[in-house]
Amino acid sequence: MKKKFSAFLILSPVLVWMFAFFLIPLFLVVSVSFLTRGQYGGIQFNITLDNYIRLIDPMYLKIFWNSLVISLMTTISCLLLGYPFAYIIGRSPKKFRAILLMLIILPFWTNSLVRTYAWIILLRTEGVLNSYLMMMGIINKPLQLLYNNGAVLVGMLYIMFPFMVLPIYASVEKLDNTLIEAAKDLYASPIKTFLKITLPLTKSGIFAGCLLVFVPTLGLFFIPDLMGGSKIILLSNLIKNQFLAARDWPFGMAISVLLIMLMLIIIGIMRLKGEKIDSEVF
Amino acid sequence: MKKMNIWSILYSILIYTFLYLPIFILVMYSFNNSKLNSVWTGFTTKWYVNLFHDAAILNAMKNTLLIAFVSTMFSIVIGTLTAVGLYRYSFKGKKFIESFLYIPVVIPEIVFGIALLAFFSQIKLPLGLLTLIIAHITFSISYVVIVVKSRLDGFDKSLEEASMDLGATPRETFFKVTLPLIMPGIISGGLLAFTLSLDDVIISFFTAGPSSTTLPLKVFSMVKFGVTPEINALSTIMMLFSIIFVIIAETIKNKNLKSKKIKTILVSLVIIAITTSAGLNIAADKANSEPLVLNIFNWSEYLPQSVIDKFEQTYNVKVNYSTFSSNEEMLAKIMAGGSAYDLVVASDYMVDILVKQDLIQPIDKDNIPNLSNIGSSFLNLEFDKGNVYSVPYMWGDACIVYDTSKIKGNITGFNDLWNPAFKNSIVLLDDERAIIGMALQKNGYSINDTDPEHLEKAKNDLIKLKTNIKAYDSDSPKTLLINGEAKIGYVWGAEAYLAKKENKNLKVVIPKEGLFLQQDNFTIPKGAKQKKLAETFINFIYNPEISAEISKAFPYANPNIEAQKIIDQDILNDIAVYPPEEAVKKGEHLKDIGNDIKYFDKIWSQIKQ
Repeated sequence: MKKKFSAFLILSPVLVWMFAFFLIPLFLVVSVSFLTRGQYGGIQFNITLDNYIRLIDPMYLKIFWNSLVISLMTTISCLLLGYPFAYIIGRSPKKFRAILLMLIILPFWTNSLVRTYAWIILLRTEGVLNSYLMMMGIINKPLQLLYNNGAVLVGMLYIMFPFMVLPIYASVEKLDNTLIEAAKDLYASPIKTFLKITLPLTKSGIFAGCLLVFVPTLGLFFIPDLMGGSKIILLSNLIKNQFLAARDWPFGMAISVLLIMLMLIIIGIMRLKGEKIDSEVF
Repeated sequence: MKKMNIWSILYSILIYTFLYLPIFILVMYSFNNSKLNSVWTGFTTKWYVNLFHDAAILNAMKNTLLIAFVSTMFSIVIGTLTAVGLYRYSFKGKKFIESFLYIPVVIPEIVFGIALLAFFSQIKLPLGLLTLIIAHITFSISYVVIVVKSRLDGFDKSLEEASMDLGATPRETFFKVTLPLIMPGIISGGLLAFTLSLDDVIISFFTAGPSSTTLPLKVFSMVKFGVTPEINALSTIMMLFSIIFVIIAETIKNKNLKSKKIKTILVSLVIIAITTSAGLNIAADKANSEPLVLNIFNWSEYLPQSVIDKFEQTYNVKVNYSTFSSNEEMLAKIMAGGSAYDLVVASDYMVDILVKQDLIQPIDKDNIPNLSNIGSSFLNLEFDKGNVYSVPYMWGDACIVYDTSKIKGNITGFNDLWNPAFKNSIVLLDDERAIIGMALQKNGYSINDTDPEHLEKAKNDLIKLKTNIKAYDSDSPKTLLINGEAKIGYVWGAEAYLAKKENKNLKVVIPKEGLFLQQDNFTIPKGAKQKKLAETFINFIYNPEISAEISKAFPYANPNIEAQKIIDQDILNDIAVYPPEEAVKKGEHLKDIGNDIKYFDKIWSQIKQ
């Protein structure tokens, strides 16, 4: 009984806050998704499922698919580049750690739009990188680095990078060195040590990192717009367009509700899988 | 602890280079003489000087830092408690709470922004710093919880037990054992929350009030004319301050104040926050204590600060000037309610919508004698017969621009864009009505045509055009034309004019098939507190000298005939800004097409899928 009370006590701030400022607005979102667009773009109180039925269209499915692929690719590249980096920072001499960590986050305190424009200056046809490569004689014709999928990926990777590194850092930092030493003493190869010791112990950091990269990437639209030339429509553009072009709030809300459900299901599956791996390892 | 090996060091250097590359570029361009962030023209420090005279940017900076500090502190406390609670106890509904806390990360920002806006207006909480802070705390909490929880995972419970066995109270145990152990997680989570808050645009747009603009909102609204080097200068200064701050924090830490460490860092954080905001306050505030406040909502980069200053001085009032970057963005904010604007600028078709949705009120033209300065061809237009609800502000068009050094031969209209020789070289406006409208005009139909057959044809044409398109860009298509990324473009007249100034090879063509026209107008929302003052402001803007001053700052076409007498000939004779009269007569304004917009939206998605 006492335990229940203290659980309630410690969780009450978040429950009260989220009830007031999140649950009620969320309820608004869900309820509007069942209404219809008014003649002039307002909301009409006709309860309907039309907004969800409209979504069953190969075109929207393709947009969904494209967005998932881009987010997934961003997540994987963030993980591949970010994990070793987070590991190095997390295992570096203690006195440097904090400053190395701060150095990661500092560039991200500059407005992301400003940084994206800096990338454009860097990558465009007559930009810094091309001029440099031409001057060095490495290429003789400027490379087309912008307004393609590669540029979008670089931009996304750049913007989301700390969201992968920081959670992994937090879990690498607590790694017990003795376990790794023990594995070494038992003649485990570095790869085996990594797979059997390091990876399982930093799993929760990886999970958090992937989550914090994958999900927000689905909602990013200024990178595909600015660096990709806005040539393909992603889920985020589709939702934005419902509010800022078609003025179809109910449909926009319906897409969002579906997105939220889908993400929660994916997160749920990932967590279940994670727990399974847990029980297999130990 | 082993020393780092050479590969680790090399890899880290590589990653840090990647992270700092754009920072290096923006620091460099903060010393660039050209206002456009595209070509290096020479060294200057004038942007730093300008920055310290730009009260709007400094004020936005102050708001941003304040919001980020406060919301991070709150979300760290709530988030850490939550993570510890979820980790320590198991109870019914725990899984549910956990999943629920993921939703703020998952929900699209625009949806959350609009939902919060609707909610705040329901509970009658006026939009401002408070609503912004509430919004930021709400989305930050989840990030802190997720990161701290991942740190707690695998946390050795025996340490806590040992502490309790040794007679420590639960409180002592928490502060002396648990907290220090999860500190790296809290710091990581807090840094992410701080970063998110510093950078948030969309949620902030919807939850900001007339006087609480943040820096990202300001930057976002500047995009249309390219982010000015002032922002680069500001970023450079911020970067410098952050580095100094980190060094100070490190020095304090290394002095081994161990138990007091956290306290010291917190105290120094607070001191720095207070001093910076106080300093910025002094720099930004001009000690305004006037009783009357006029809240204006206008397109970004459309009205120079000098005009606002003159109005404030003449009438001894304060103006809160906030901006939007599309009609629909403005409508969303007005529609959700709770907006406190006295004067809103809206384009032609949007005036129609605002009237139909009963969101604006009639204007008392007796208070605007200077309306007589406005040319008759800009009054009494179809979207507001008799100018009951709106009076003109500025107008513009869209035209074709091409680079004569790259394209030989004659360009006369839209049809030329489909020329296979222009593979991957066109920049188009990223606007479904304008572009589908263009394809309709190309086939000889009206831009407001909603006939399914005509739309189908336009769609197929636009799909064929895809291979020729380099990029869609509504914000700053001129950049692509200036730096040679695109050879030909369909852009706003003002953009074309500016592009031509930078790249002399560019030539403007008024498309022979028809002209897209847009007229922006002043409107007064229902419930405006300062209707009379808003009308006084409109009258002030219609002064020929003031009106000409606006035209000098921003190259849009001015409907003020008296002002045209004092506007530079150079711009008056530019066909991109002031297209020939016969073309204007043939031109069309957008109309609200009601529910048919759904087809436009679907076509747009099909073209871009």
